[in-house]
Amino acid sequence: MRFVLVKTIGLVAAVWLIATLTYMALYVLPGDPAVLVLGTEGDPARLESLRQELGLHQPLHARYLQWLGDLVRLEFGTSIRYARPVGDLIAAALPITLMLAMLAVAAALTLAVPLGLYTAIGHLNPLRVAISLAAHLGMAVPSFWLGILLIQWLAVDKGLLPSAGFRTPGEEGWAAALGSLVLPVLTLALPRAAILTRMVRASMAGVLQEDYMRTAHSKGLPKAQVYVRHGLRNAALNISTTAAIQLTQLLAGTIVVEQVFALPGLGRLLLAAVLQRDLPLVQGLVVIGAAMIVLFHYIFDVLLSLMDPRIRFD
Amino acid sequence: MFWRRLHLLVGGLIICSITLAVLWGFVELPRDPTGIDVSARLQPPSQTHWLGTDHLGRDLLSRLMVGGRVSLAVGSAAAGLGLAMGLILGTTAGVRGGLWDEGLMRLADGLYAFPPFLLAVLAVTIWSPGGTTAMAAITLGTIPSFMRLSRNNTLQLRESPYIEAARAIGAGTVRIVLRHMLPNMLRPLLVQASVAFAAAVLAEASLSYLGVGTQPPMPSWGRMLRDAQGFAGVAPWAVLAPGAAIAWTVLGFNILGDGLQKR
Repeated sequence: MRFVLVKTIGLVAAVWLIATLTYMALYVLPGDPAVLVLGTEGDPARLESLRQELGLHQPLHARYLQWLGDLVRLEFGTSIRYARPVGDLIAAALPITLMLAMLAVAAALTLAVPLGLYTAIGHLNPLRVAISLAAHLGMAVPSFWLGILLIQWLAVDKGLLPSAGFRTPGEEGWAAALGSLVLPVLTLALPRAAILTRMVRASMAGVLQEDYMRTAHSKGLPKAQVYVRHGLRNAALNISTTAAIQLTQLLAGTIVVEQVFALPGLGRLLLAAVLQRDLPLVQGLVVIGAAMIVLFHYIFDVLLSLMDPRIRFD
Repeated sequence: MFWRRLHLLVGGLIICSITLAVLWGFVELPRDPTGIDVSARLQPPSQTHWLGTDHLGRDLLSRLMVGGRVSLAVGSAAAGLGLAMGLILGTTAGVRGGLWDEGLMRLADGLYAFPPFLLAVLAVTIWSPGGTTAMAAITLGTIPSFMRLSRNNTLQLRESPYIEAARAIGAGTVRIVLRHMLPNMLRPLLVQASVAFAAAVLAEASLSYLGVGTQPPMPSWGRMLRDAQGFAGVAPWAVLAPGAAIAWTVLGFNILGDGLQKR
């Protein structure tokens, strides 16, 4: 219980810290945010009205407290370019990114765990060498390149899947929606699967040296049980720690993949906001994105401590 | 031993091939990398254009050789500066401990929660999009991993008998760190540097692909892919060449890192 409490305080502190750093970076560091948005050649009257809108005439601490209060109530202000509440824009884009990320993690793990397990146990054979080489290549291939190649091959040449855009489940049904996500999920998952395969293999190779594995073998347990119950479960801690880091990377990777496949998710929204210097939107997205990552690590830490009591006493 | 040598050899050869091609670009280029020739647009590989041309008739090989400068520069900055800064901060944190250590480590935690990629995007918002901004943000993002690594190694080594022996014969802190600790933590740091180099090349390419990294007219591998995406059907070579260049470079550094790690 104490562990959960400490972690919860850490979670709130981390989100606050990230939010404050983002605020500093966007509203304090550049001097005059209004000039940052409109450029130095901006019309003085428009600059003035934007300063009013952003509340820049108040002293810094008042502005900061006001902003922090809004944040606690989950109010992120109004987007400058879209003239809509930032919260609404994020809420519309969030499900696509979440779906993409979840499916990619699931796909990566489904591929990586069996492959890693297979390469770890037993002697070198052509198949194991091929898997290792493929994992090396998979780690080196940039995801956007993979995406472009997959579009060209499976969507344009073979016509199997849609090449870009998102089919909303409400209008075109779930089958079409999931179909439009197949290639993006593959693009996102394959490089992650490559890293995870190597990780699973390395962790398993370590566990295989342990005495209890020899004991399990020698007391005549079936091979599957030895490797899965005794091996994989002990390697799981290592594997899941890497998997958690990979998910963080994956969320950043969605920015690129959403761009390749023209999916209207958080990443595409962020990119548009950055290029148009839409400060409230950038800020809302960065805070939400970072908070999601921190929250995910929090849930992960707590779940892990339930699985493995050793962690709680660290 | 065999596997270590094989990895070091293959990784080294790949890195050499890329570095030589990029360095040769400073001596001479096959064609003008930014010279637009509309009559020769989207040409397949031929004797005049070894890798073909892009949608503006620019020679792809020349653009690859010039674009490689950006990738290698960002990689070197991230691996070199990241290593230097991380090493200095990490060892001082490990040696001195106390508030300095605590503060630095919390800062590293904060930077860790922030994917380097988001950091770069944030930097691009504040300053203008461009190669230098991207390079600075990517380098900053690599520091925490080096910092953690050197701190943890310092803490571990501090307890070892030979450090105690060195201290007993009256060696100063600076001497102990430089002569006794540094050589013993070089291997994990070099492995990390290799990984950081590969990651930085990928990050720069991603940012340039998104249009917030290196800006035209300077060619970069990521930007070349962005330009070529719309012509993937008619000019597949324009997509294949820059992507293969990125993958080849990253592969080289990953294999080198593997070799360094093996005993």
